[in-house]
Amino acid sequence: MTIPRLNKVEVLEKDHPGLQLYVDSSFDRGISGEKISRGLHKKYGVSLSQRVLYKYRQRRWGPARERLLKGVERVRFVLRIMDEVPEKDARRALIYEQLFSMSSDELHRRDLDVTHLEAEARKLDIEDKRASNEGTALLAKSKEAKTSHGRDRDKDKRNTERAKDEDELRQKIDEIYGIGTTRPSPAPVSGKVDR
Amino acid sequence: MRYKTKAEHENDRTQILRLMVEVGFHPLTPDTILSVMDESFHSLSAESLDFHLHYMADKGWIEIGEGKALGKDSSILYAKITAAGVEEYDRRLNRILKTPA
Repeated sequence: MTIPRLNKVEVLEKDHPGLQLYVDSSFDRGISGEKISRGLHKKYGVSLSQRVLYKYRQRRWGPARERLLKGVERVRFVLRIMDEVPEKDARRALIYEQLFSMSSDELHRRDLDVTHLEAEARKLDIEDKRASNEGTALLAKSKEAKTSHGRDRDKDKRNTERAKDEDELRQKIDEIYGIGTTRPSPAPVSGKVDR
Repeated sequence: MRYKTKAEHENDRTQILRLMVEVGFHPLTPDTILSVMDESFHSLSAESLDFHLHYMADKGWIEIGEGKALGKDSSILYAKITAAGVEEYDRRLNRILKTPA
């Protein structure tokens, strides 16, 4: 592993805390190297040539800014995905956590970027939909079972009522004609029995 | 291990605010902040960043979103600058860029 050589700005930062921030902020604001050089001399009493400053801009400030913009792009992408997920959706927290927990190093190591995030989110989406479908199917099954159970119960009830009606009818026929093939079983007597 | 001075901590916080101002009112993950800080040779550990982010959130300069995974401690998922944070950064920047007459 090669350790990058420190730029003069970074070396001076050790003795003059805030100097690097001064240079960074100045470049952020588009201030020229010449002006920064003068400012540094006035504020910290150090002399840095414009060449050193522009080298710093090219090798440090520029790449850092580029990485920052990439990071911002990644965050915006995650948020765009999150925008598509309804507020009340249970998978929202899951996707959010998943996307944000992925480190840049992980993304770079696997040579994956925004497209991977998209794929990952889609995968989660699919898994969630599958789980949701399974859940719906299970729910439907249970509903059906409930309905069928209810239907059976209704059928049983109807059969019992029909049987009861038939028994009553037979009893009436018995009473009128004094005949009858079957007799209903006596109803159980509740309460105290006199002996 | 050398402990950072108060001025260095303040410097780190200003750098973090600077990044966030650049991003605008969009959230940044701690990982992005660390990688950018690392890119510009600002040594900052994940623990230090966590401390700074909580500190700045308490001050109202940033908003943080925290999440908790099963079996893990609560961690910061993202941080976003607030209007008060932008003002604080401007205040700091004016102080930094102010050169003696």
